[in-house]
Amino acid sequence: MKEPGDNERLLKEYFNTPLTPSPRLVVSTLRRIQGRERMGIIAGLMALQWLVFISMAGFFLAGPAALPWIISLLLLFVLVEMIAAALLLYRITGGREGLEAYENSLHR
Amino acid sequence: MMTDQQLVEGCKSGQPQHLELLIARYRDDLYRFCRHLTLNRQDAEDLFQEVWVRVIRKLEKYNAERPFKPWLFQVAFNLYRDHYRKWKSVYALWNWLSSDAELVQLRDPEPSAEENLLRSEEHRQLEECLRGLPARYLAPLVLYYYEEFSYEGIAEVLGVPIGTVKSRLNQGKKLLHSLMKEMN
Repeated sequence: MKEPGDNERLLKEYFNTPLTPSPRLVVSTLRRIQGRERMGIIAGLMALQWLVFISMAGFFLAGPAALPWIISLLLLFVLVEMIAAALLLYRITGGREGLEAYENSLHR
Repeated sequence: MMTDQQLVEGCKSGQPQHLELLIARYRDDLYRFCRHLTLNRQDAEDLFQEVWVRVIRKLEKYNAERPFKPWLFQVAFNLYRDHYRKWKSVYALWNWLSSDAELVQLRDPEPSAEENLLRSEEHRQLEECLRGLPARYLAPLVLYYYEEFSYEGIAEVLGVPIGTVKSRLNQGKKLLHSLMKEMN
């Protein structure tokens, strides 16, 4: 039967045994953080799109609308979609650093 | 060498190289803490990464007057205790949706050869007994045997009075001793 003194020694040994993490742990952590940021932006953009879509649906279902209103809403919808696509592309390509790398490659 | 507070300020102002330095600085210590809490290599790496995701989110609330390490460990412990064990499968799905395929290759469910060599049968039995301990007893034991955390440091990480730390350490050791007696 183990004495408390033996347990104390065993605990110290156990908790001080070297434990080496994966050599890519830091890199994978940074990528996880970036991935979460991307997902957050994507989720936000999807929510915005749904809001625009529901607002438009509500407007059209409420009754007949004048042509200028319809055209304005459609243009607004297209504008929102273009901004969302541009933001998504900007984030996916690495933001400012990605743009600078692209510009540098054009000037070579 | 930059201090923790300088690196944190750099992270807050969006400088990615400071974040990388900060993660690298605490890589070994935090990984060991996560490893001893989860008792599993793969879960430890998952928890390690989730801790930093949360740290980035909470960085604005971090008080630069406090040392960074106890705060970091406090975030890790709170995440483990309150969320990680319950939401492990949800985190796995979220990461699968947001991660590259390359990351999947990082996962190694088997202990490394080095870990196998260093772990004796006694250590494996002890680990089995540690799995039976509630988190409120396991965490003080882990922090105490690091030999770096004083009772005050442990109290700061766990957010409890020093008396509670001592009481939980004693209770934890007694419970562990009885579990080890049963196993033997």
